[in-house]
Amino acid sequence: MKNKLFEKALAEVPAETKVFVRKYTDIVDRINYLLKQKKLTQKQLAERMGKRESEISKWLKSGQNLTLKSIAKLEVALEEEIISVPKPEITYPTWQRMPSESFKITLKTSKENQFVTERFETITTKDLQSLDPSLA
Amino acid sequence: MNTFVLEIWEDSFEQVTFYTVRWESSQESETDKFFSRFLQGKEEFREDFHELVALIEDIGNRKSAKPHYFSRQVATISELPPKMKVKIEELTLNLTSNRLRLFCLRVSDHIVILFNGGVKTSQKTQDSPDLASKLRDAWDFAKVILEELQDSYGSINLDNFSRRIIDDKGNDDQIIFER
Repeated sequence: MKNKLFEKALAEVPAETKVFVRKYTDIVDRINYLLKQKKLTQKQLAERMGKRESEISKWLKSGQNLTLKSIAKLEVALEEEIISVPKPEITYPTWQRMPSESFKITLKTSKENQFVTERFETITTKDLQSLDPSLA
Repeated sequence: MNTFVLEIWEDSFEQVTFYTVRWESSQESETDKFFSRFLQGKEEFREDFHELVALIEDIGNRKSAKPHYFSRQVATISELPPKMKVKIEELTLNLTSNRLRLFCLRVSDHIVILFNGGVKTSQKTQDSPDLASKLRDAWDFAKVILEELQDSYGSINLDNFSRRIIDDKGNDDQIIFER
């Protein structure tokens, strides 16, 4: 059964608000998981951070903004990442001399240090020497 | 003696069934009153309302009703036996300065009863003019419901598998209570 008022309200929620709320619940889950995993109470966390327990409680429970800076402080105190940003793909060439005058160029992309794609191109010695004179 | 109905408010979510309460003489449930008010309400509370709606959807579909999504306890129903001490909680976004509060009874990770709510304008919920009477109403509704849920002598039971509250006649919707 779908509640009509709720459906109408949900249709009006901007996409960025939905994303924000999802990030919020993910962060709250992560913090609570780390506190449990490390068997830490809010009081012990507060002591690690040099703060009063009420301040930590306000961060975690009441209406006070949890900023990026405060998340960074929590990460240090918990010795774990709370949020992470996907690393960009890195593309870099390697080359090897082939028996003929051409070189095989291998372009490898690295996503989080794992090779996921390869592309091969063949260029002439002359092309390569224009890029790197040491190969003459 | 006032009669109220415990009824399903929204059960199309993957993780949570949301119930609400409605006075038998009223057409509108307590939660629908909250939604009607803020759907047509001031622009001032629009963003806060959107955040709360998005939170209900995220809890309902993705996360389930874990305790840490709900704000600090507002009242404990002390007249009940210890094992049935359950808190009335506020559903609000803790990471922002969201001014809206929706009172609820988190029965389990998969069943939540929503009541009414409003705007928090003071440090303590019970000191906010818009919230005080709604909190008292929520407490009264919850007390009656929980008294019926305790042990196997009460007239209603939880079925966490189907995410339903079921009365002794097998009904899981439109359960009538008197308070």
